[in-house]
Amino acid sequence: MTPALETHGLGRRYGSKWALRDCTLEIPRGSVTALVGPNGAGKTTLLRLAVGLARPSAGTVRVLGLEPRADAAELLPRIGFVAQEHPLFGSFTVAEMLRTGSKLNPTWDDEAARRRIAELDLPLDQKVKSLSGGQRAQVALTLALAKRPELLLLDEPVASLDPLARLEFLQSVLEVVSDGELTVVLSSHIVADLERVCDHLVILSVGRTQLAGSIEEILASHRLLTGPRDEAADVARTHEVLRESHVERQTTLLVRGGAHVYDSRWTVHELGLEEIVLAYLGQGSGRRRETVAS
Amino acid sequence: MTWLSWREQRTETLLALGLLALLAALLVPVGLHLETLYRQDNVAACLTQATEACHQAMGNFGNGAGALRSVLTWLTLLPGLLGAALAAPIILDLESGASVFAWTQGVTRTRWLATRLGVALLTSLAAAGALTLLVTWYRRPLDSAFGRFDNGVFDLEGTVPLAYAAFALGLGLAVGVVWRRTALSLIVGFLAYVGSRVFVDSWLRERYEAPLGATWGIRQPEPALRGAWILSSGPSDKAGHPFTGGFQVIESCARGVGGGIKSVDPACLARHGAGFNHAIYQPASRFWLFQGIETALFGGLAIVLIGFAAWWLLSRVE
Amino acid sequence: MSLIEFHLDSRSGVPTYLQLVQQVRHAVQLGILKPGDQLPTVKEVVTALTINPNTVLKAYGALEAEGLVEGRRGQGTFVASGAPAPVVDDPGAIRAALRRWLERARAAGFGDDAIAALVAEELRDESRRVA
Repeated sequence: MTPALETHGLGRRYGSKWALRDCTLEIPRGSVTALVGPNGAGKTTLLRLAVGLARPSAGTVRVLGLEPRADAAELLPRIGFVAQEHPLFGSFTVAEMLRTGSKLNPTWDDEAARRRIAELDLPLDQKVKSLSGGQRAQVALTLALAKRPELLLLDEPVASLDPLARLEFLQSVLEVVSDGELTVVLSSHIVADLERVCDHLVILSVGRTQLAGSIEEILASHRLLTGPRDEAADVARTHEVLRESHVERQTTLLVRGGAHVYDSRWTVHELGLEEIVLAYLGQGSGRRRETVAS
Repeated sequence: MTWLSWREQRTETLLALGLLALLAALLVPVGLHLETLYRQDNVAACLTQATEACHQAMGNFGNGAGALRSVLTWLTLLPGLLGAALAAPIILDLESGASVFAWTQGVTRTRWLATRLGVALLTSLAAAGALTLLVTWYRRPLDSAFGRFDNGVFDLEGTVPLAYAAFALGLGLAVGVVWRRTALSLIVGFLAYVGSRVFVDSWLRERYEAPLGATWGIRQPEPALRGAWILSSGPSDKAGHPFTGGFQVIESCARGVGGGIKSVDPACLARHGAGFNHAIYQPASRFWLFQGIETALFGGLAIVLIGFAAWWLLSRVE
Repeated sequence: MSLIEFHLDSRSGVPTYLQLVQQVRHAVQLGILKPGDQLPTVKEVVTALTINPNTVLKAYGALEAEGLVEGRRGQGTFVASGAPAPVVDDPGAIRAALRRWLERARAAGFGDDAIAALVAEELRDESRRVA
């Protein structure tokens, strides 16, 4: 089966600035993938390239095996997209938004959409612009899900929501994932919660892919090593060092992969996802080797 | 998709309908009144006569039409307002980001655009058409008495208002898709519309075809220039060269005929090169030719502008 | 209504799926779940905890692999008939033992924090051995 999303050397340039550069990744079907990175890392650009809103300046992007721009007619009904800030027609009522969805989508499941709106207690006759942020997000999600998409792309879906609305939104998404064969890609600059919600992770920073893979593998392949400073160089030879810090006699290394033979003077710690992500983001901004002088 | 297009421009469509209803409420009674005057003053009979009584009757009728005529000159801006207003919802979607929602639904951007533009264009044309019919009906007596070639009338009748509306829609869209600021784009688009219209009305239109000239003696009856667009008229010599002397020349040719009334001596005027009247005009028979030229001009510009907006939306806007 | 309810401790450092596995094991060992009992459906767990469905599937898969539960197609996941009987019939005895241990720890000068750290570390080591 073709991957849900596949890019090769994908790049998008605005003027002379690359918003996304040399991005190669593969997101398997059925996964829930987090696209992580600071603001301006290229997350939105990647998603917009995937739905065909933007055109690549370099490389290729294939979604469900199709090319977003060239095969738009075939692809668009099969993907759901919720843009940042959840834009909708502000002057429409919720009922009119549903009608809009039914008019614009050949695969529209009106019954499911109405059921969701009723379950969420959203007033059908209220104007979209007078809804709360969380309600608007839920309407946008309902519209995307009623297309019965194979792939759901969410751009910073919870960034603007309060904690309760955030939880409810993620709950809604995961509920649908557990119902069937839905692939979800969601971008976020907040790392908390992602470990629970997602099973795959893509780290973007300064327009480039820093890391992509399943969260389980990522957690298993990264370790924090603490040991004597004079042996740091030996460890660095057999491990990919992402971050190191030194004090007078001790060195702390954040490493990826490598052999398991450690000197007994080195202690090995497992890392949380957040620490690993931060290590990569620090690397992206050019602080690959930070040395703390004592 | 069509439903969505209507729903999106509902406010603007209702506004246009309201405006037309208001105009109808104003123009229908006046039009009925004009028709009564037209029959009372027996204007129809005078169209082929040039008697003093008829002169009087025409004058009466003209006064009866009243101040409304000059107020209605402003109606020529209306097709522009209609066109610009109908560009608004499309630009508003771009500004608010709702277009991102629209373009990621199950229909392609091309289809979305074709329907939105099609409905907006049809609505502008229909509104401008209704306006034209209304004004033409109201002006029927006036048109038959005074013609409809003059500035301020020409651009309210025939086919040109439709082209103006499409042109204004195109301007609003072209500025709006690039700028993506609804209010400012529409103001700039409308100002550009007014500018183009002023240029065409006051300079370009009279040059569509070389105007004709007519010369006649000052005591002779006027030639049949009814319905013509008189570009200029004034005293001249027999060959039609315009009289260049000052007012004192005319004064010097005037002599008292008793009772304080002065009369001008034609022979004296002729000696000074002012014995004739000369008019430069576009004949009434060219009305539809000029309508065709101007419709093609603004219609063509509208196609170019709307085409540009569509191209920009499809290839440059993300 | 589910027979058991899962809880997650996000600060424990134990992977989510393993927390689920441990809680099912625990429930079987304490006799809260008996052979033939149904585990919460994947959707129920997902909605209750806001976690990835694949995590639940993985946990249930692991439990199935060790023979503690069995998946029945289209019905859900059930505690297997061959699941080991509860090791302790009387949870009260365990608790009494813990109380005695606590007294010893206090006598040795352990404070609340030290005791909590000790237990957490021991649990983590254990879970790593079992995994």
